[in-house]
Amino acid sequence: MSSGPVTAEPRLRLGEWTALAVFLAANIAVPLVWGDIFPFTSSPMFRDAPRVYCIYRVQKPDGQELPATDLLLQRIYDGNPPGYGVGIAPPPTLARFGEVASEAELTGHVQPQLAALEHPFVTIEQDVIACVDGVCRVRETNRFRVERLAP
Amino acid sequence: MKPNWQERWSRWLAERSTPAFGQLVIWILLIAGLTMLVQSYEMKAGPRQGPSTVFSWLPPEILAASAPFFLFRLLLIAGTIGWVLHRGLPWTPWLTVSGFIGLWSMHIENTWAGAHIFHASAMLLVLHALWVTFYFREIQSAVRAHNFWRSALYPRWVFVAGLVYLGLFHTYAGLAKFAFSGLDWANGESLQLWAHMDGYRWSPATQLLLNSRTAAMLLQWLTLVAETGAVLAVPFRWPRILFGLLLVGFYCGVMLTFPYGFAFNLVLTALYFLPVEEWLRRRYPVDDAILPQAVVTLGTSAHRTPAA
Repeated sequence: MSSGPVTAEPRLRLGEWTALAVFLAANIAVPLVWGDIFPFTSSPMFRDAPRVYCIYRVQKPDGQELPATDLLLQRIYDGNPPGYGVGIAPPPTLARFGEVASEAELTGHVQPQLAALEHPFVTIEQDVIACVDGVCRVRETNRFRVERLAP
Repeated sequence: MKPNWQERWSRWLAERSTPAFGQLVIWILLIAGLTMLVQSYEMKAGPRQGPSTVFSWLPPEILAASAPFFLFRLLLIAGTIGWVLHRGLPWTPWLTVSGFIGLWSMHIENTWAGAHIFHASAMLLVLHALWVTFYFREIQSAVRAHNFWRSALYPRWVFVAGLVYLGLFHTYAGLAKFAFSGLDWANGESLQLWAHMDGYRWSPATQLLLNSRTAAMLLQWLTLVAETGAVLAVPFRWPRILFGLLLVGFYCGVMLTFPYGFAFNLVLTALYFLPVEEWLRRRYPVDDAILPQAVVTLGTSAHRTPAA
């Protein structure tokens, strides 16, 4: 540590030693053992290394847009591991950062949600974002039509 | 007889300077509390999980209610006013800590997307509440005598603990990346994707990242080195300044690129890792003339130590 004009008391009091030790020990041990329990943290933000992600748009049969949340296709991820160190479990969205859902996965995921809606089918646009030759942008857009199963 | 290492450490950590740095940190933490206070909090619905905060032991119906938000806001306001005015010590700092940690805990308990923007502030607030708890008599006495800014009130252990904490906070971030992704974390593409996902489109930093994997990879390597090595740099002056500059650069880059609220992490990291405390200690030295009063107050001997 740096020097400078200071005034000294002979030594640290027992209470100060204890507080210092507990403060530091807790901040070392709690994140290691239990992870994120606010205000303790293991600082997990952006710990993954994704190479691709998708953005989903949903259209009703008349062409109007439907919120992606209605079919659990919204992105929850914001750099923090979804559901880690928070009190509410995130909705089971298929828009998992770092993954590209196949048509079969999309159909299997959307059809149960569609059963609760009035539309006979929806059209899903899937933008696949990836980096090629050092440049990152939308690489392809896939369109899938998912029909509601007969009750 | 030469003192043993415990004695030397004890004396070194107990050395006191004027409270300029500690008070500056407290003001910044209280401003952080005020920004938390004015935010509105959305209550997400879904299955409860945990523990995620130190308040997770409360019954679910309390965690999901709006009353705790009101209560913790009230504690934060009352504590902040008292602490700023040096009234009600040492209880008002703990009211502030309770309000601060309680309010953000209630937010975390009712959301599915966390943000690590107040963790460091919360822990430093705890540390400064501890400081006031051990020294409130001396602080009150100095305030009454109008010589607060020239009195020896700030023990070195408060600064050292804050510095070590911030070192740990960043080192854990680096280790989490290593543990979860290995060296592949710094592949450049991940940062490019994050810039595409959330980056300000108007920002030149975003455009640079989107169009240059080399730049993204370089910045990720610098981040990985700065974060992981942060706690190791704490004991050494020049490495600490170097890592401080790297971390401040990292936060500036993040804030220029993303809408993430890391402003207080940036300011606190700069204050602790750059030689601000050292400068303030020299700029506002202890006034020898008021030492006798401190001695009477403390009931112990206080003396100036030679500069190391």
